[in-house]
Amino acid sequence: MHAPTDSHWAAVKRILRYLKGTTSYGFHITRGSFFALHGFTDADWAGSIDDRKSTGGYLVFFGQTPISWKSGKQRTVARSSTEAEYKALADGTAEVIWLQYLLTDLQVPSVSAPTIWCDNLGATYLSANPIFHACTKHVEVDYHFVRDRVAKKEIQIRFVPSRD
Amino acid sequence: MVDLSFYQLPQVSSLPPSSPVSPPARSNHPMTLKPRQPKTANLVASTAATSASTRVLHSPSFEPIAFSDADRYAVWNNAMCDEIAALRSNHTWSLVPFHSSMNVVGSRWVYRIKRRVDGSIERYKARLVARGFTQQEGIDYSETFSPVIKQATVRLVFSIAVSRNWKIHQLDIHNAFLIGVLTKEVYMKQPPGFVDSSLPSHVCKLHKSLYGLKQAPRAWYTCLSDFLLSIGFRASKVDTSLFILSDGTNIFYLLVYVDDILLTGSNSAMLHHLIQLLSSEFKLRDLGAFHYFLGIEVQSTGMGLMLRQHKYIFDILTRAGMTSYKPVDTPVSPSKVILLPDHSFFDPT
Repeated sequence: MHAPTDSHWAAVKRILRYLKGTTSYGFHITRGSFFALHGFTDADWAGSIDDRKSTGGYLVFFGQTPISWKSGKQRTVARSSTEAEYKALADGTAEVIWLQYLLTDLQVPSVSAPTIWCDNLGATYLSANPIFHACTKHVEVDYHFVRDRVAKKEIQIRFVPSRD
Repeated sequence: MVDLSFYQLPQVSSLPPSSPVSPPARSNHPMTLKPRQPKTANLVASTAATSASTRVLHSPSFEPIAFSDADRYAVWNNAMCDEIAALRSNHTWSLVPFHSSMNVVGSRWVYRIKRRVDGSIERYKARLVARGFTQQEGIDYSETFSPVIKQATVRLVFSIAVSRNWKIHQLDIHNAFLIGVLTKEVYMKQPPGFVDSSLPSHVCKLHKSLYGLKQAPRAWYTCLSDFLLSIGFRASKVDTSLFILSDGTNIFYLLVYVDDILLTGSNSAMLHHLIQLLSSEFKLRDLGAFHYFLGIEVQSTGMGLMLRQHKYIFDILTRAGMTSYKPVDTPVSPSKVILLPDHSFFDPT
């Protein structure tokens, strides 16, 4: 943002007007009995028309309460929607694992391994299948990171259709 | 990032890089400071007594920037005398002869009017801050990083506490940044208006931390952390601002955000004991059930806790002069597109 223009200024003012509409909004931490983590990840593909990078994100719940979330442009360009989804899945996995360590530190026993829901079948297959697809060679590190955690049963990856 | 400016943020980052009225800090000429009315330490009480004839007695409703503006008013003068007395009893510094090898940082006064909820004036507060931006790495400071609690940790601990019906206490540490012990030698000019007339060329050798010093947050964190570890807490490995105390049957969580502390746990009697233990070491206030933490308003509902940022949003809109603007439903216009100036990709869809 070294050369802001009028359109940027208008965008900033719109954010503040949006903020004004949210003054009465709040974040509810509800009493729950189900102490388990579960997360959702999603991504678009090549959403940025400036550099063709995708936007991915995750949302992690503890019981009924959302604990951690992020949405952001991915650092590298994805060659397929599955790859974009897979990178989001890797980010979500890292966060869930961090939270799982935190829960262990807090001495809160976990009921089951955290589940991450992802709406891309290809990405869920990638997390479980040891098959090395030619089109995903270049995402090797993320690939092994998630699959390693799944193989150790530290997390489960499940498919959830977008419309649900 | 939360704005903490209305939540007793220590005056570190809000310090302007250089004030237009106070003298510039020049480390090679540390004694250029010429206050209008030099006072010696033992004259503090008597200046307050003589001020009746020379100083304006009515209570001003503005916060002066310069010492010379504030010194005209009895209330601000008293506030400065109080601060100097507090620093003296804290053994914050001792006066030593100046040597040319010393890097001497300046000091200035920051004046704040503390108001009650209804807007009336509660008290006048003068805070002496070191001009830490003239400190040199390796000479008078080394490590400055001070961990702060992660928001996800706060929400997770809240969620656990709410689910288990634990009470969450908020503790407010009084003058947290004055508690830390300095490990590096730091020299500071004598405070404006309080130059010892018998030793005018001496400088303050700091033993304890001061607001404005680069290492102030870290010195405080180290001090608090050492104490917590000594009473049985352990620092979480994944979030170093979270401390956990467990004796097998009971468990307590303590969250640190600079000088704001949240404490919760499974046994309320032991919680009170822990708070007493902490207050025996640090001067603190137990704010009880908390309503306001890191700019977030907390309301108890039948179902749990409701967190809101109504005041924070209102403050932003006030600062932008947009309180009367019409709200919109989305943060970004779906039709207008902002492009890079050298837009080189095209939309293939």
